[in-house]
Amino acid sequence: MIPDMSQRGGQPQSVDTASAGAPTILLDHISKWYGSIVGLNDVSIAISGGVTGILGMNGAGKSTLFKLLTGKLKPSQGTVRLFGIDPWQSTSPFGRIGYVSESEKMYDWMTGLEFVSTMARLHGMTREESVKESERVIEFVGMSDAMNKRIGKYSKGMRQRIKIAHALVNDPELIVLDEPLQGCDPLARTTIMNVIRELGAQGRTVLVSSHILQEIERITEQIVILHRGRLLALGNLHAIRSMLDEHPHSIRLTCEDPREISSQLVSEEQVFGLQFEDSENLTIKTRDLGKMHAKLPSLIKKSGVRVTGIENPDDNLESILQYLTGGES
Amino acid sequence: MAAKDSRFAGIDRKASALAEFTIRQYRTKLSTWVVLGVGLMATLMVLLFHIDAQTSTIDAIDNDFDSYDFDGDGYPNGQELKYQTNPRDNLDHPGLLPENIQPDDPSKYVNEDDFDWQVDSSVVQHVGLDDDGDCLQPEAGGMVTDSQKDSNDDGQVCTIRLVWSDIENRYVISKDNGVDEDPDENEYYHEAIHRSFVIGFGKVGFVLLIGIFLPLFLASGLIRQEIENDTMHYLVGKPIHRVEILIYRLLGFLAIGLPYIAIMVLITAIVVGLTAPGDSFFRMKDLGIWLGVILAAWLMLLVYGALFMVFGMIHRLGMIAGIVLGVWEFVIAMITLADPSLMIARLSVVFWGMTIVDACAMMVYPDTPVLLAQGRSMRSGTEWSIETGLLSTPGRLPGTGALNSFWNEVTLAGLSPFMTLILASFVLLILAAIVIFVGQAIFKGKEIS
Repeated sequence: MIPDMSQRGGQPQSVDTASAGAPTILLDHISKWYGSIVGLNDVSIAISGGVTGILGMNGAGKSTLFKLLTGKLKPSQGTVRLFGIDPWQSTSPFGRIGYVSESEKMYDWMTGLEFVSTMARLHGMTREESVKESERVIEFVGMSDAMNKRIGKYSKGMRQRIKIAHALVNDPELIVLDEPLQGCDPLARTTIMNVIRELGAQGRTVLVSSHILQEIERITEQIVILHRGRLLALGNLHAIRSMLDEHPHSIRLTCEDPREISSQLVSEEQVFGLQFEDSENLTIKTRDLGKMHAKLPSLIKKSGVRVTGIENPDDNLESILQYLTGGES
Repeated sequence: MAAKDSRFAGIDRKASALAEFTIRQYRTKLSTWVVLGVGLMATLMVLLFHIDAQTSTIDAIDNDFDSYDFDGDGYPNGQELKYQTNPRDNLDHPGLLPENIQPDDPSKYVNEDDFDWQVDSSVVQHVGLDDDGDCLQPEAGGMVTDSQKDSNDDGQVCTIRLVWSDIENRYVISKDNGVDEDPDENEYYHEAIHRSFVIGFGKVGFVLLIGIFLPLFLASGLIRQEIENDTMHYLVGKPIHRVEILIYRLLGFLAIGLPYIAIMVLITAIVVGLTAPGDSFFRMKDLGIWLGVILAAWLMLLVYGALFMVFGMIHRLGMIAGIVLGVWEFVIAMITLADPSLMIARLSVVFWGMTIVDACAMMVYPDTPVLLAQGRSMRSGTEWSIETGLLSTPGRLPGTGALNSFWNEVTLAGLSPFMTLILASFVLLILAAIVIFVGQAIFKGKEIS
């Protein structure tokens, strides 16, 4: 009779005991230095469940954060826990997470299916299981048609989707996606966003990083903002937005006759400034972006001027950061 | 099923997945095919040289001048000695005898007194047989009495005395004049060249060169290239310990390298076996040495594969450290060929690999010291000489130098060849284990950024 090694005493499965009640992700006063360069500075976060967007400019520390979480880097200070386990010390949490790196490098000589199923086998699946599971996740990311083509021939969006499929093949509880939308065409973007929302709806913990506010906004409301290695904000995107709305904002109108329309706008109380950029563009300065947007259609209608475009030029991460840091960035 | 879900089954699956992945990765790289191809070409070229040497004929030398006719009477010296006429007097020859003997073809008297050495393991022994009778019946030559026929004073008439010297690791030889003094150079040469090639190419070609260059080119990148190509995170992000990654990657390398070595040795064994001197179609005996060569080269791949993999992982310049180590090993290999008893040689990997081949050679060809002793026979004065007044003689029989270079009698701590083989293999396995242990400790502390 073959002894069942999983039943042997003395060494309990650390996964089960340590994770009871622990948050999926716990960062406690984490700092990471690369020589004299600060990657992360005293960041503390705990996250369990749902989709969380990690927002930050390039170099804000998003990738560093993810690499610390996935045990690639060792924190200079503080503790990292995945399901209550230190990922630098133990590989046991890796069976429960999926990680999509920001790097575009892949094994170009493999087909998508080979790549995903090889990675599945590294999770301990048999050959048959790995193919079955791989086909399932490849279908999930909508890559079934191209799964037998070599990765080298994939477009950026296809590569991203196969990378996401590889991270899902072990049915992970935590999925970490580092800039998954970067370089994708609009179609792939939409597919990936749907996939991420679906994963969140399944009750998994998903972390998505991006430096584009609108991308994150379409995926989730729960955000973490990193700036220069520091945790700048954590919480609901709308709450942050409404705080932001009370501060000067601009709306740019593209229209035939800016001066005609400005006569309608100048009497509105939300408007505190108008700026004529050229013969077709008008910039409205406002303190209440929401109200202004609500009123704008009727004002335009009243003026009878044909408007071809409405833009929020500062509705982006930079302006949020500028606001949150008090303009120092 | 308990077995299916045990953690060993999981380890086995991960091992086969990563090893298989590594093999397929090798297959897609041009460098793999170039390295393997160059190894094959080099081996085939060396084999061509060997075939050329084995099919050439060494000119027979009449070491004792028996085929000459000193007095010009038409009868070679050997024939005159046989009929006890004076080879230096043209008025005294076998034609004048009552039987009216016709002159023989002089070539009958070349290589007519070959070695007849039946050697056993005793320290002092008397060997040799005077085939042409110039010692046993030397009346015309002047050796009449037993004491004249026993010129080395060992109490045995017309023999050669061999005394094994442990200090010098060779036979000390003294001989009676006219015994085994005209050996067959061609036969000796081919036998000596054959043994030299099996031992020498096994040690230098397979153990040293392929044993170092194959891992240097193919194993250095096992970890380094993954880190440089930014794909390491796919491997370390899985529930696999880093020591497992090292071992399974190495397994993938060995899955390419071990069969390659086996095939190359097999090709060489077939060619060398078919061209071996002797009556048999194929020299089966060599296979004992070739198996030792395979074992030694496999262990070299294991140790060097692990070493270069770890070197490459530690630093981008690991290749340079690998080359420095390679040079050191090369120097040690040369030292080992010259004198394997030097202790410094043991501070290398290649010494242990070469020792395995030497031990196998000692088991397969235990009579090689005798062959060497015979080959050195022509050196007058220094070792022993049997020539009968030759004007110019070669220092030693052709092929002796090669055999002398590659044949090493090294026994570790006085163990038998077989135990030496076991010990050397064990040392190499321990070395590999130490390298992997140190490597995984370094790998564990390595950040994958």
